[in-house]
Amino acid sequence: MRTGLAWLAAITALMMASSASAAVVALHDDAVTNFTGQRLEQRLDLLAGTGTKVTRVDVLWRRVAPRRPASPRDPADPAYDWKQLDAIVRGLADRGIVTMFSFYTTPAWASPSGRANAAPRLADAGRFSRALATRYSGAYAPPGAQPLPEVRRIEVWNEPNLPFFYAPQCRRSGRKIVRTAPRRYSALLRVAYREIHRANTDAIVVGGVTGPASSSSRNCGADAATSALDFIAGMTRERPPLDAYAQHIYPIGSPARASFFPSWRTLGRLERALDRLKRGTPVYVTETGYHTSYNRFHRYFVSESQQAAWLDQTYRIAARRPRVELVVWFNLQDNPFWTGGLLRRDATRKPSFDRFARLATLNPPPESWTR
Amino acid sequence: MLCAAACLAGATVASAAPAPTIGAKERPALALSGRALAIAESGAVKLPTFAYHRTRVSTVRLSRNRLGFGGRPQRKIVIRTSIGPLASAKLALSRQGAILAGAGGRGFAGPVVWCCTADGEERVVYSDGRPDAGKPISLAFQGSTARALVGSGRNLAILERERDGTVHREDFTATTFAPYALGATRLASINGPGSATAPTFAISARNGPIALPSALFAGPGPNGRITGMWMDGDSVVALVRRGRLWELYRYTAPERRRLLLRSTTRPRGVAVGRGAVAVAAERTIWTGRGNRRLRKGPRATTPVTALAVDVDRVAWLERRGRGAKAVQRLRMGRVR
Repeated sequence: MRTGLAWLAAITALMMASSASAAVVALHDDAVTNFTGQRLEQRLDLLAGTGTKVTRVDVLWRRVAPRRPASPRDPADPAYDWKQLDAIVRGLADRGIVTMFSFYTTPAWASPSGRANAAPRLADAGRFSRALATRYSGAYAPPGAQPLPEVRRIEVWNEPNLPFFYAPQCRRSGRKIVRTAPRRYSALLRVAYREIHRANTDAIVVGGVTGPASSSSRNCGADAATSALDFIAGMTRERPPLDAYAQHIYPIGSPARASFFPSWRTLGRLERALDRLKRGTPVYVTETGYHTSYNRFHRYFVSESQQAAWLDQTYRIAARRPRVELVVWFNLQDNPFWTGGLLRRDATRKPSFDRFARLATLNPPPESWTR
Repeated sequence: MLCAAACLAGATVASAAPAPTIGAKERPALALSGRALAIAESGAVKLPTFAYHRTRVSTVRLSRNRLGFGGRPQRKIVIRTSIGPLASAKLALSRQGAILAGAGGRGFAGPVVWCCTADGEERVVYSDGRPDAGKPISLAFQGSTARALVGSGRNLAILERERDGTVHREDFTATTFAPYALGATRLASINGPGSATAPTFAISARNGPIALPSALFAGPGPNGRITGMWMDGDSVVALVRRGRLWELYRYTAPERRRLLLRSTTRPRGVAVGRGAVAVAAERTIWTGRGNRRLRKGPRATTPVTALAVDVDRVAWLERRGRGAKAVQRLRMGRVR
């Protein structure tokens, strides 16, 4: 009898796990861009070992284009250094993992200030988008090499509502604070959208990519941020084209109970705001997670067992939101600045590793993602 | 004239800015150094759908005579968790105003955070999410070098954060049990096989980046139980329970100890700082400097909830008000 009940419980658990299939289960490894050669292969094996079939890869424009290209739309321009990115994309494809890009970090030559977080000149960003989308359109073969795999989903920038990634956020006009970032970002998204679609008509351009700021700063200092809702409202006034909207969610509290915006409980507010921007826009949660120890970027932490339980809960809740098409767990492994990994810094597994692996195995991405 | 008499008697003086207050239910901690004072408050944040726990650390500038407050508290560090309630924080304050704060709760370790750079950014000295990770035990500054003793059971580690941000770590297995106390240049532990009633301390001297026990101080004898230790410069202040009596000793050299206080009332708080010692027993605050017996200093209006001392000033928190208006108010007084 007890054995029978155990089987029933196991089958129920499996059904619950596989019912969380509405959102694609994905994992980000922010360290993958630190490796080359054999060490990159090992790193990709580690990522594949989680069972993930979709991953998000940072395209650090500043690193790919350290010098201004003479023909910036041409991915073969010698100023571009695609070597590492090519190896990552090919390595992931070899392991059956679908890649999604997120491109950001402004090259020194692409902004007046030269800073990595500076809002780039639109023309430069647009031309780079074209080069990126062309190279990974599935039809481009570098000289003397096989065609590169297609990367269809491209996020335009990362957390443009936070000054750490996109500055300035605002300017003062007398006593008023004018939030300039949504407008500038909308223009960036418009030009990137056009260029990416010209290179690959099947591309899915993901906009927004807003970080988890619940309220806009009341000052306009160097650390001033724009809340995700204010950012969407600002984008709505500009109406840039986009195929999906990405939001990052790091709740304080369990996924079912956390009530700050943005959180899983407040996703309805996000969706309503997005409907004003573009009705029915799919939502990609391209970063979510829980930190298991304190770090200065996320001052909230949970236990390793809570992280594991709340990972399960995250995907269960996401499955009940039909507009949420993708949920990317951030991150594969802890580092001194980020402690939300499935692996500790010493590469030992946290309890969340097995939970993620089970979910990823039971919920392969739909055919629309893999073909 | 009235003020002069009151001041001589160790009473507090009216401050320029209002005295900072914290919530009545917060678990507080204080640190005092020069004209800087750090206040840590640990408690629950209750929201309609759930609650989480947090420790936050603020600093407040003292007035020129260090008996009042020169402004409003500035929030420096916030640590949040859903694991469980956070205990009173461990705090250390450097003469330059840098803060070292350690948090932790029952069954889990919290971080040790240093604050702040010129840009107001904090740096994490220690953060470990493993289930068996050590908790912050004692914190100290030596100039700009911050030190933290962390551990659980006998597995201890000393961490040192240098001015340039480099963190050294040395793990060691203790041969003795708690309590431990970390000072600017010394680590004190009780030298005994598995018992806090053993009669000697082990005091380390620091040569390299990490200190380990090396020399012995004579302890209070087998009848007393050491319940707390604090490093003050090169000396150790130890709180000993002997039957119904509570005794506070200062150990300045091997075989040399001075009785600072003997009381039948259990001290609610003990603080040491640059030669000064303060003990809060209910509403009475005993203070003294060097090896002298402590004398009655300023008197709190309600039982003291946290205490800090530095050279000639003592700071404490006491409860004020009732019900929804209840708070813990910060007060300052002189060391006698």
